[in-house]
Amino acid sequence: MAVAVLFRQGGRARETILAVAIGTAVLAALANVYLDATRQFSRELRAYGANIVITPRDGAGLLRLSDLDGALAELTGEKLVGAAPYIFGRAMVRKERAVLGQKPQTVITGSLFPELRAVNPYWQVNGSWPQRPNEAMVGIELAETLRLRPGERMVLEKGNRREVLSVASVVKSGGAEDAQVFIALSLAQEILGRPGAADGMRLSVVGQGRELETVARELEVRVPGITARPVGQIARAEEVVLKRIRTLILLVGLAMTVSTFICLVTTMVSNMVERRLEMGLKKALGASMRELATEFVTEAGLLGLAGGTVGLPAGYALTRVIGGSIFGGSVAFRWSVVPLALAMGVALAALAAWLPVWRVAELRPATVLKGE
Amino acid sequence: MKDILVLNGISKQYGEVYALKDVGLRVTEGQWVSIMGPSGSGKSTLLNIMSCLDRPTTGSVLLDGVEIAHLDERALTVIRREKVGLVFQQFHLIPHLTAVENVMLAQYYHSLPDEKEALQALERVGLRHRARHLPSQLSGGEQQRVCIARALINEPAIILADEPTGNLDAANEETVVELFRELHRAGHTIIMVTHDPEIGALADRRLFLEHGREGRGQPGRRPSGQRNDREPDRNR
Repeated sequence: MAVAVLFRQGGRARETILAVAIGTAVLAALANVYLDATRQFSRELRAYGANIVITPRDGAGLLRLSDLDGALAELTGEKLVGAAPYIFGRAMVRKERAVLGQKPQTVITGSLFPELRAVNPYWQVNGSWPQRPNEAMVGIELAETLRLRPGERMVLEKGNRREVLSVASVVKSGGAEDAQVFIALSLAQEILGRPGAADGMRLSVVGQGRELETVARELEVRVPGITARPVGQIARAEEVVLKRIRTLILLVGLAMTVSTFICLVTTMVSNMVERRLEMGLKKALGASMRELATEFVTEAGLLGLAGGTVGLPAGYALTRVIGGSIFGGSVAFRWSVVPLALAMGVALAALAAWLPVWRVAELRPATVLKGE
Repeated sequence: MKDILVLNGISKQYGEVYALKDVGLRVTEGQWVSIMGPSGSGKSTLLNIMSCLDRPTTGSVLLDGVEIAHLDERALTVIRREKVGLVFQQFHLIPHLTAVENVMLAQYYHSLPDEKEALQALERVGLRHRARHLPSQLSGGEQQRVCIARALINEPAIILADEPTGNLDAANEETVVELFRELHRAGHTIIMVTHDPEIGALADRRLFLEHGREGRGQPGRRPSGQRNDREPDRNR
């Protein structure tokens, strides 16, 4: 009966439920984003490029890629975004059938293109990523010098070895890569005479700060003879960005909580004023101050619970919208947020009701019931 | 007969102004007393003091053997819910509660709500069939009868009614007056403030107030066969 009576009150009850529902929906969505932020933003921040670099320990030797396979397998799944081995060398490069524009001793880089793409998602590629061993990707500076465009052919010469390659794309990275030629790892190893080896490997791993240091340390332990180092600048930048984003979410959540609370206090004060007669009557019928205060606060708490219950599905929908619009995917809705949001709704409404309840003490039933 | 209410030398002062001055009254169990007088004569102030909603500046009020004149608000609240049944001119039913819920509200602050008892109280005022209706679905007379049922539900020592027919049309007034007659016959002690000399004349005794003091008043028409002291009570 008490619940039915509560909802028969109409206007103010609906306003309270609506205010709590909106607050709960936004807070639940923000809580989900906050809790999922590390995973989501870390993945987004992987666009910055490699954050761990592996090199041979003595600095002069070569990396045996087969040695790294087992250790990298441990990192697969959510954590490892990409692992691009690289081998450097120098070769003569020119456009096929061109006499001028030859670029002597150009840096050629051999790598695995799918991994290279995963590690460097920020590279601007004009054309398509190379798919076949006879395709190459040319840095934009070199392409401009040699007047090479995607679809054209180029010649790569190293000693007696001569390879004619098709230019699949022109890449702009903003770094040293703009003056290099990228070819398939196996072809580079063959041309450079270092089969199965690499100069190093660039990893893109989800995580920041200490997490990356731990991954690097574990790799060093598992694969003797290598040095694995987090790329300090990127790791720190990621950490700072994440911290700022999480602080921002917290501040927005706090602002939302405060505005919901202010809205509820206003509603409760109006409610109290509108119900002066009812409160006066109840006092006249023998209700004590404590009974009336408990009644008013409990009533608000129940409305808060109702608002929270209404707000949670909206919060779920909002979480999906935020996930889709900001992360281009889904933000996980965490069930641990449900009791938290409900408790928040109840607490805010009850506290908002508690503040104006002292007005009941001022009510003189004889005066109120006379309509004065 | 046992004294239910004894007022001695009651005065109520607001600054320099006396709302009541040296008023006395003795009400025995089962009596119906009317308090009459023009507007501003102090009727409502006196009723508020008797119903523990206000305290006199001086004087003593003995309600069912308890001196209440100088009790604090908390103690007055307890006395009010235990010993007093209030009937208001404007009925004062809570609009979002049904008739039976309005009656149960008085039980809630007194002891425990009991729907069966509340329905019996409504039956007593002839409104059992309207128990699930909201006040807005009831006529003025029906609302006043719900108010009376609410006043009766905790079996108070005294029923205090402030102009109970003041907001009713003639037909509903007759119904409510008849209900008070029944309550009187059943032995309830009733103190009623009224402007209406005809209703005032139904009481066993009348107290006239003028400018906060006991006065002579204009005697109203008294239905034949009913006892009426006509003169204000001097029985202190």
